[in-house]
Amino acid sequence: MYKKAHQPKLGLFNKALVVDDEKLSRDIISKALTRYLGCDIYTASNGVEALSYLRSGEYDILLLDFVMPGISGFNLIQEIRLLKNDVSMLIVTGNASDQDIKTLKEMGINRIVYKPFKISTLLEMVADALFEKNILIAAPKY
Amino acid sequence: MPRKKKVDAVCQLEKELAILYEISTLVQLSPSNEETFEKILTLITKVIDYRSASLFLVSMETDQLIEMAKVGRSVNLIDFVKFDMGMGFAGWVAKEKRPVVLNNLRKNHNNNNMRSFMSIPMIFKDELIGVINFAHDQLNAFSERDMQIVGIIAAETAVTIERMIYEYRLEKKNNKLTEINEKLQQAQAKLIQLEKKQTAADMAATLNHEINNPLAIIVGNAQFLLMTMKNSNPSVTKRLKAIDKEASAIAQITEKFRNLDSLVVEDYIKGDSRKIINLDKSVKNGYA
Repeated sequence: MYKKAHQPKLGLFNKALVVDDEKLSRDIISKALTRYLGCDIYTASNGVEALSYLRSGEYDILLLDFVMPGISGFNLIQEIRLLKNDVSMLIVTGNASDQDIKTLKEMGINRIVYKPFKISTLLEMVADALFEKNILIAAPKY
Repeated sequence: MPRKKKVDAVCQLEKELAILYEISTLVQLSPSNEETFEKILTLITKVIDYRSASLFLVSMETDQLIEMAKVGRSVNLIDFVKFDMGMGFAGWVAKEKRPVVLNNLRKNHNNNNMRSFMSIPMIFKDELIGVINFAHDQLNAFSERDMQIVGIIAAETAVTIERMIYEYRLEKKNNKLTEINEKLQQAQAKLIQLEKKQTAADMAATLNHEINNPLAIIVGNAQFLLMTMKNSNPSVTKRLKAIDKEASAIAQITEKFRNLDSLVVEDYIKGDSRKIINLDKSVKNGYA
């Protein structure tokens, strides 16, 4: 339903890593991204797991729940940056304060989706991030 | 002593006692102000012969002598010499805290023809309250007796002035205490408001975390189904839209909680003791 400008991994779709401690939340994000953006989805239920994925593979986009048990959202972002400085990140949050948002923007993260989100909003943000990386050439239709 | 002299002495003593009583009553019943001090100086003329008199008080603010009342010209000596306590001889007396009588001053244009001078400090509990100065254009105008009488008057006046100073200080302290108390009450009210706001903020954070996550799943699934089941039964579509709409309404409430700025509390039902937070009026910039 849309074309890719190039495929970073030959024969694979865009690789997205969805990090959320709620299984049902991971599921709905994964389903929407697979169906409407053709993403190849990998999921992690916490920050440590996410870092482990990032150490062993390349991802086009990272969808990160900001508040999860264990490592704090800010620390996780810093760790991710140390591992993959250029990975696109989209923050999904149900409980970020104004100060958190300000700090995130200061860290250069401008794509933030607030839970509960509209699926269309989430898809547009992900598509936008992929466009920016010259991966998608057409917006998703749904 | 001849009888006449004895009678005169007794008469003088009676006169002095009467004046002392009058001054004592005056200082006890009158406010310690310029008018009272001037009356005291005038009453003294009945027992002491002088041309001019000045009453100086030590300023509470500056610790300097300030002339509060006078009869005739201002009486000071050596006006051109500055002393620690203020200008003139009164300053010197204030510093030394002892009476001075100079009965043989030379004619000098600085003295305004003053030939005799008497300065009596007003002391209470070893603390200087003020000074009373007297001047005369004749030599040897002031006697030791005069010094004693003015000394008694000065002591009496000093007690009253000290009382006034004490009351003034007490009032000042009271005012300060009232001011501090008011500030404390304001701070307490602010603290209570802040605590309430913090409680609401904690509650909002909990609500956002606990409700938004499951809500995101409900809304996400309803929307996903609506997007993927475009040709499904209209009744199912209608119900999915209802789920999406109502879940989104809950999302708006949690969003308002996230943006709480002040707590506007209202009666749940008029006349009922239960209260509710008016979310629209409590959010930043107001939604209402």
